Formats: sequence, structure tokens, C-alpha cells
Amino acid sequence: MKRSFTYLLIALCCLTVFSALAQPVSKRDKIDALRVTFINEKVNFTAAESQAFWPLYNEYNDKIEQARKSFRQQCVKNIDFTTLSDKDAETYLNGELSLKQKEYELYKDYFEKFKKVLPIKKVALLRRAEEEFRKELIRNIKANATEQ
Amino acid sequence: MSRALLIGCLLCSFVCVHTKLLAFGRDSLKTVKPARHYFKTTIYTDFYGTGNRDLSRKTFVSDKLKTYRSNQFTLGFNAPVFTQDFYRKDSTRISNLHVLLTGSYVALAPEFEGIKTTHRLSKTSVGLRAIYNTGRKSIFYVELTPFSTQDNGYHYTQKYRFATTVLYNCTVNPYFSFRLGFTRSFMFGNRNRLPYIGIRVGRMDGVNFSVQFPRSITFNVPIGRYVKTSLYTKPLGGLYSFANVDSLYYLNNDRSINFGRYEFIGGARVDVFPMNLFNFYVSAGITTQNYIGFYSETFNRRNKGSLAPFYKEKIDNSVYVNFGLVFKFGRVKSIYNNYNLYDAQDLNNKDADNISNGNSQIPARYKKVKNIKPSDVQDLIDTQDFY
Repeated sequence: MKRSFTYLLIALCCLTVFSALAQPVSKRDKIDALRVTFINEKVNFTAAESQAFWPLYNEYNDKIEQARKSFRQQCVKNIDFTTLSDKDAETYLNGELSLKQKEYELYKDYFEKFKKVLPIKKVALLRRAEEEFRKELIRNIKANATEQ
Repeated sequence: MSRALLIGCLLCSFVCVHTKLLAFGRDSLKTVKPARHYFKTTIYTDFYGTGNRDLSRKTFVSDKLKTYRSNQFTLGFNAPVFTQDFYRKDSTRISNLHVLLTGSYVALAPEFEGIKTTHRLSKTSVGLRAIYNTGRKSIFYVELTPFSTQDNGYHYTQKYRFATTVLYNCTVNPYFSFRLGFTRSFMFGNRNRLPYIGIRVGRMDGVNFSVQFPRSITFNVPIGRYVKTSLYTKPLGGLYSFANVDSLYYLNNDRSINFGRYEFIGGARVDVFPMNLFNFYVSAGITTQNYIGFYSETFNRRNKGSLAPFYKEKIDNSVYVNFGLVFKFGRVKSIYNNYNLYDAQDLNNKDADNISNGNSQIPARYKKVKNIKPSDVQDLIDTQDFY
């Protein structure tokens, strides 16, 4: 039994250390999950469509997110906008342009793929659902701002 | 104990290197690399203990042992080492192959009041797990787990064994899947070759009922985002080398014998997911069909199938407690509503020791998120959207 308590103690030490390092479940993760639920409700996929569509949509979103994170890290975080030099301004603007282009290319590429696994009406409904979700988020943010 | 600590340190250093934890705050300039894997690197610890029970004392061995109780500690990990996506059918179907490195150290402390020698039995395994998702309805799963077992302090007891599981999983739809396969397992306290038959009814990310013979029967009920409860029953056991220093087996001068045990544990379990990096579980209930047995090595030398015991006994039921901590590392690709990968996550959630380590990364379903700040959704909306 003494040994059991030793194990328990080790486990609790690990717990303390990792709790200090750990991040709580991020709101971004929740929002991603909520968006998925929102789209699912609006588009009404069949089981076969769902099976083909979601892996593609996840991949599309991962790529978009990666491009945006890269832009933020390279062109936003490292630039001090209060003392903006010409070189930094150019880096920022070129970065933004590249991001927009990348987003457009991904959008074009994946919507071609979506058309192959979904009827065209559902691709349109998907686009509509994404827009509605964005509006929903903005409404939520505005409501928060008003309350505060 | 020292071996457990050594393995723990090795695991931590492996994970630190693997997940670049040590590089915190050093380099924020580089372009974000895409996540390579779908499975997070996981380290888990599990503790399991039962109460003390009297043995029947009807045989020589039983009379010598008098009582029995056991405590088991497990430290394990699984880490993705290779992931490859394949595009099929107009580059719209994504199938993927996942190879994971697995390992565990199980320390079992059986306590018999009748013998003075303290036996610390251990089992150390390092194996590979391959999961192939066809991108349609099928998943193929292969787990190869070579392991060594010994009675710590008696190096001559060391034995090498091999457990394996081969499975086919068919996700018919989000609400139903079945599994067929084969497992060579030691979890019933003996060397068994068993068929694997399983079905699940209900969504993997919702309420579901799952029968996975021979591993478990579970009824899972998630409560909100952070808690998952379940009622379950499953076998828990193993076959361990045991030093014959107490002369439990007096024929053939065997220095090393085998100790096998299993019990069906049935009870309630609560898994708590407070953060991305960590979750824990607590479970309690009653053990039934408790079995212990000893096997002679000399007698079973030419035996290729199940081992024949020189002593076996069904013992009384007991209460048990079981809890575990699970640490998860690394960025992974999204798997929202990808039900094949939900099943793959579920397959990866069990190991050869039949410890459900609760490492599943199936995303919780949300109905409403409140108090959103612009910074939470900066990737989803443009600033112009506010006007």
C-alpha cells in the first residue's frame, strides 16, 4: 500500500507540473466545433456526403488557418506599427497580399473538390452557412461589447 | 520502482524532443508548420487496486498463499511516428496511414499473506501500431506488442512474449460500426488466441453503447464539454514471470514459474477533460470472475497454446479503485465529423494491457459559445465585417 501511495504521489507531482504548463480548452477550438455543428445543421448532409465532405473541409480549414497564422507570425507580430519603417510596411503589405492570394487559391481549389463530393446546391448552402456563422459571431461580439 | 522512474525520464525526454516543448519561447519567427499527425503523443499513468481476499486453502498452494490482493501501476505512451495521407478518386477521398510507437511499463504487486517474499512483477513493452483508414468506411488496425516480463530482483525470471491484435473496423454510418479481427492476448492470465468481435451503436461523440469482445462492454454518456461518464465491464489481467523462491512448485526444480491473473471489473467511470494537454479519470466498482493461477515452465515447455496451470482458483469478488492521468502533446490535424477517424481514435484508446487510457481526442459537440472576443475569431472574420 505504501508503494501505491508513492505512485500516487508521483502522479500528483506530474499533475501539478503539467497543470502549470497546460492551456485550457481554447475558445477557438470551441468556435471551430460550433461552426461544424452550425454547418451540419444548415446543409443537411447525407451519411455518404458527410463521410466524403468533412475530411476535405477539415483539411481546407487547417490550410487556411496555417496560412493566417504564418502571416500573423511573420508580418504582424514582428512589426512595431508605432515606429513603422518603409521596409516593414512593405513586408506587411506584401504578406497580406500573399495571404489573400493563398486564401483565394485554396478557396478555388477546395470548392472544386467540394463540387465533386456534394451537389452544387449544397456547396452554395455551405458557403451561405459559413457567412451566416460569421454574422452570428459578429452579433455575439457586438452584444458583448454593448453589455460591457 | 527505479526502472519505472528510468522509463518515466526516458519518456519525458522523448516527448520533449518529439514535441519541441523545450523550444518554448525560443523561435517565433518561423512560418507555422502544418500539423503532420492526427494523433497526439500521449503519456498515461494508471493505478488499479483491489481489496484483500481469503483463498480457499483447499490445495497445497492455496493453503500456502492464504490471502490475495493486488495493486497495479501502469506507465505508458503512444506517439505517432509516421502519418501519410493518400488522395484517391479525383483527389477528393483522403485515406491515411498512421504508425504509432507504443510502450508501457506495468508493475504488479500481488500480495499473499502466507509467503514472506515480496514479489514485484513487471512487464515492459515497446510496440508498433498501424492504422489504415481507407477514407470510405473501413479501417484496418494492426498492433504488434513484444514485451518482457520478470519478477523484479530475480533476473533469471525474465521472459519475452508477443501480443498482437489485427482488426477490421467498418464505420457503416455515424451511429453504427462493427469490428472483426483476431487477438493474441495475455489479458486473461494465460496465452490466448481469441476472435475479436465488436459493435457500437450511437454516435462516437455522443451517447453510445459498445460491445467489444473480448475487450470491453461500455455505455458512454458525455455530460457537457468537459466530462464523459461510462458504465463498463472489462477483463483486466496478465501473465507474469514469478520467481519460485517460495517453492510453490516443487516438481522439476523450476526456478521461475508463471503467475496469471484476471478479473472482470465492472463499474462506473468519470473522465474529466479540463484542458487540451491533460485529462484524468476515476473509476470504481466490483471485480467479478476473479482468477489466479500458476503455471510451470517445464511442464508447459512444449505447449504452444494456452498454458496448463498446476494451481488455479476462482476467488471472491472485491471492490476496486482505478484512476489515471493522461497527458497529450503536439498539434494535430482537424478531425471534426470525420467518423472514420473517430473510430480510429477509439481504437488507439486501448492497448494490449486493456487499459482504456482515455486519450481520445474526439472533439466535443457545442451548442453555444458565449462571450466571444474579436481575438478569439480573428481568423474567421475580416475587420470590414463589423461595418
